[in-house]
Amino acid sequence: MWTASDFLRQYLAVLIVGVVGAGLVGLLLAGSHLLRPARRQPEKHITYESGVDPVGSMWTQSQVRYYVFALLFVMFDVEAVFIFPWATRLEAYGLFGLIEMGIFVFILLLGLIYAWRKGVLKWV
Amino acid sequence: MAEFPILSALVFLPLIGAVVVLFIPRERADAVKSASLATVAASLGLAAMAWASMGLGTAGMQLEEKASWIPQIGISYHLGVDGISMPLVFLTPLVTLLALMYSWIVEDRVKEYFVFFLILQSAMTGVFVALDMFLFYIFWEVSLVPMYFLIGVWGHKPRCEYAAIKFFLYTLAGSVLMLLALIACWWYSGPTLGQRTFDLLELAERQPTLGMSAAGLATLPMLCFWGFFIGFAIKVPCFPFHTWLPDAHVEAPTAGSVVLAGLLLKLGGYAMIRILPTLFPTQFKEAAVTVGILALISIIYGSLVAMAQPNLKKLIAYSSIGHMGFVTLGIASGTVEGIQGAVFQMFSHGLLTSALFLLAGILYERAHTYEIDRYGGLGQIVPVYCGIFVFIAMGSLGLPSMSGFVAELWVLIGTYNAGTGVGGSTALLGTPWFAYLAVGGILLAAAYLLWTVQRVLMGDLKPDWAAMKDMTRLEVACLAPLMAGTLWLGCYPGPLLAFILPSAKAISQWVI
Amino acid sequence: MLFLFPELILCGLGLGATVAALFCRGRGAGRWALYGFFVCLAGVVTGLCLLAYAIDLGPEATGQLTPEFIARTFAVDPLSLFFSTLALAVCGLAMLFSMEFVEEVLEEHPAEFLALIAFASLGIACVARSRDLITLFFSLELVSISGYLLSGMLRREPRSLEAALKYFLIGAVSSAIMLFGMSLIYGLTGATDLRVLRDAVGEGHLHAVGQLAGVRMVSSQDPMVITGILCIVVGLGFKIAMVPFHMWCPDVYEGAPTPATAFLSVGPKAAGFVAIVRLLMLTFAPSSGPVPWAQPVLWLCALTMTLGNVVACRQTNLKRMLAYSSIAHSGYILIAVVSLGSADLALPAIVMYLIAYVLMNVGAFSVVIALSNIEGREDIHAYNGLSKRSPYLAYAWVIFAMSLAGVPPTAGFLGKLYVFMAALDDRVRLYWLAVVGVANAVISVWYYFRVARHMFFVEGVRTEPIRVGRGAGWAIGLSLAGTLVLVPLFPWLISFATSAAQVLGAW
Repeated sequence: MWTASDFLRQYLAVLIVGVVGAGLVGLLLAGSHLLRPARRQPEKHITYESGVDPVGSMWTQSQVRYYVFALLFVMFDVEAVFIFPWATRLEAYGLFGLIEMGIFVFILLLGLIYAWRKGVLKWV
Repeated sequence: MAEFPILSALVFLPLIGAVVVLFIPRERADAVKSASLATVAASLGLAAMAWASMGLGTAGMQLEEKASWIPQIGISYHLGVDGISMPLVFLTPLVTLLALMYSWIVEDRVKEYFVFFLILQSAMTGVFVALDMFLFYIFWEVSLVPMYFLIGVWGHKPRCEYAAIKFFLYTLAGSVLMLLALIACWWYSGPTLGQRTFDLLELAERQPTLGMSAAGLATLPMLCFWGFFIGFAIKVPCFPFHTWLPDAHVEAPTAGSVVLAGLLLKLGGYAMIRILPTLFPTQFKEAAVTVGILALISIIYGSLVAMAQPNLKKLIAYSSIGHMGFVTLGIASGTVEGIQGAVFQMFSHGLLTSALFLLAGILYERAHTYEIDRYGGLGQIVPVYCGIFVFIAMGSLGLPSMSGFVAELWVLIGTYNAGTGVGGSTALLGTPWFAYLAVGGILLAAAYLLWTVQRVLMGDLKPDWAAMKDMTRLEVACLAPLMAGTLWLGCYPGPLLAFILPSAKAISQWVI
Repeated sequence: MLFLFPELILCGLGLGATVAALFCRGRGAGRWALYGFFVCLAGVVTGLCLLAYAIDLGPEATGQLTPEFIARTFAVDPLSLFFSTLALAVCGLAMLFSMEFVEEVLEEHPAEFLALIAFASLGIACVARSRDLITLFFSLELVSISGYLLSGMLRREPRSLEAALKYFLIGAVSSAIMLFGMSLIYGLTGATDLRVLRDAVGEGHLHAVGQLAGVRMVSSQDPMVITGILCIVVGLGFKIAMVPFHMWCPDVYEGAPTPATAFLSVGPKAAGFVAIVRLLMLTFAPSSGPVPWAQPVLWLCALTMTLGNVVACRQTNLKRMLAYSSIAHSGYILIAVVSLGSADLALPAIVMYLIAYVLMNVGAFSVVIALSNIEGREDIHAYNGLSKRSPYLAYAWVIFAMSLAGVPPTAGFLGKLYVFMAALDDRVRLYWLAVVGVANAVISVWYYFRVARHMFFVEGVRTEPIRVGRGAGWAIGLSLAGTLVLVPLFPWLISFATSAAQVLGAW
């Protein structure tokens, strides 16, 4: 039987994780604050220190190369998503699994070679 | 050795001829013309042979050819002729031959022109001999496309483009309705896909309308009947589906008009006889009066409108509506005489209207106008033309001793019998007034034809035409067979009527 | 693995074209297209042999020949094999009719154009194979994304870019809607496997496979299920350009490079219909009780035909006209979809119609491509007097127009005949829909033959003969032969379509 208290007890874990998490963040921030040297400059107060200034017109132009890199990043990120679970079950799949992953990586590699040959990877 | 498949040869010979013509170089126009004419002449010979080989007094199909084609949905390659189709099968190469002979004068895109005619002939013959509805439908539709181009490319610019597409759309609209009705009939002809059939004779035996009623669809048989009827009525054309015809006829080139009026219209009449009484006997009886009224309107309205036409070709076109009305009326009567008369009328009209359109074309060739009022007194300078014109006009208005008279007489007898029940038939039409009023149509035909003769040939000669040449030998050669046929059938109709009789009886039995 | 042959060919072709793109500088892509065509041709022949083999074996044995981990998400039944082979054929024809385009017109990335066609075709094949919602979605996305790129290949042309952007935005939205529907279905049942879903939604009983997976059963009349299914219908409706989700279609077709349009008009549409067959007709169609999606699709079907044909009459640009015509053809095929009660005709009708549609539409577009390669325009006046400049193109158009309008003796007529047969089935009785269908067929004659009118009846300003390119010419010839030869081969076609569909019934 489920009762309300049972239900709430389940959320106790969430609460504990939340409290511990917040404590950890506070601890780390406090630690780094104590340890690091402090040199105050105006740039340090900008929201995105090394990014684009968010103030101004909506029509800001940004370098198209960001997108290309982002896409390549996503591509290999997805690759990792597939490879990781595969690796945990490699023994079960055996040689066939190895070959299949080889094909998968090869196709992605082909994409990378294509991007490289077309000069996408160069930041001009 | 298997028997020579003469009907298949009749259907496909023109098509083979068309392919041969395609390979003749474009520049050799005379070779194109000779090859086409030779093909059509050969198929005329074949048709004569087929007719000669048929037994007299047999009601059923003869010279049958049957081969399995698409057994999964009950389609077979099934051809055959009987007393109703054979005259029309013979008429097809005959009229095409004369039309092509007259077309010797064509200069523009000769090769395509003749190829289209050959395809057209193939398709029309196919409709007349097909006993499988799928095959029938394919031939029926294929006949549209060549005619579309014949009207559009070689017709009288610029209105021919409109006429061509109007013809196409109108007839297609009718035939797709027919297609739906056909599929519905197919559905109720058997329990499973393979057991259903498109075969016309099989369908007649199985009576799919009973299956529809059994499935609880009370109105579907009637809807199917009208689907078929409208498809055919557009082709005939029967009032109120006739409006494409004047446009198409007026704008088509002369040979196109000849084939259109002489043959294409017969597809509709033939299909009405072949399909409506056999597939829908009950519905036919119920609808007979309505169909009869439409036919009567076609006769009288067609004739009246013809009388009002200032344009010679349009006048002939409307006269076709009137004359084809007799065909529909004869069919609606459901009597043996009516159906006999309808077939006879189709044959006779095929000869007469072809001749009329040829005559109109000959005149246009010289004067480049169809306006009746611009002519006058031509009898003084072109006596041969004048004589032939009067002869054909007399045939068309139903003068005794001409074929038109016999045909209309038979239709009237049939209609009268169907109105009164005389002669042992059921009084399908219920009143003899159909016959009485149809006689009025004949009078009107006499009126407009005689008046036309008067306006074109008699009176004072208009100075424009003082130098008009009389008919050439080629033109006389085109018309002579038509005149001979008219006269022969008028004086001695017995053999043809006797030939039609058994099959007409067989059809009539479905509804009487 | 044997039965995945068409997919392997397409994948190899795409990768090969990508590699070729690395070495292809400037001219010379036409040669690659020709090679691609021959590879596809060989693939189609092999695919047909495999298909005959698979039909012969039956679904059980075919399934056993396939490794289990593939069979879980990939169907290996004859129907899917048929559609994969069709995708190969589409790819081959596309390579052929793009030959002159990649050689002479397209200045940048010609080999990539070919690679994208191959990848899109791979997507179509995979859609046909999908036995799982997730596989299905991925495959559809492969088709769509390749399509976005194809339509934007002329990247110096604003119209092409506009087409690509429009296609992309609409496509993304539609995919999202479809994905939302899929997630609803998954949320309710806990399954993505289509076979399990078929049992879980509305059948009232679960086969062993469903019980093992811990699947929940839901009623097919559950509002949430209906919402989910309708979301999928909307998503697929965008892909096949069903009214009212068709707005993108004319703009994209007009703006995209003509060969890309030709491909888009058959490829993604075939994929969409395969997905409809799998999802709607085979999965979400409970064997008893009302079919939840049938009523809305029925009305949209009538609307699609009518709007497509009526609006096509007003078009003066041939690509736009063919776009509306392709909308109308979606409508005709939808008649067969809603006639699913006609067990032995509905599926064969779709198979048959798609074969005919691919042939005649590729053919008609190839005529447009051949002229557009030379004249650089597609408006109807460019066709004036074409019958004298190139009788081949003009008469080919007439045959394709007849086929598109459903006039015998052409393949299009056979497709329409079967569709109407399904609609008039005693178990379906959609008489009014059939009447709407044939009325539309008559309307369509008007605009198809309006082009023929310009070709034959109108004198053109230019009279010099047209040299039809080799690739486009062959593509026309092949489609022409296919369109005409299917009529005498009708019995074979029926057996083929029926056996493909019957075997599938037991998937």
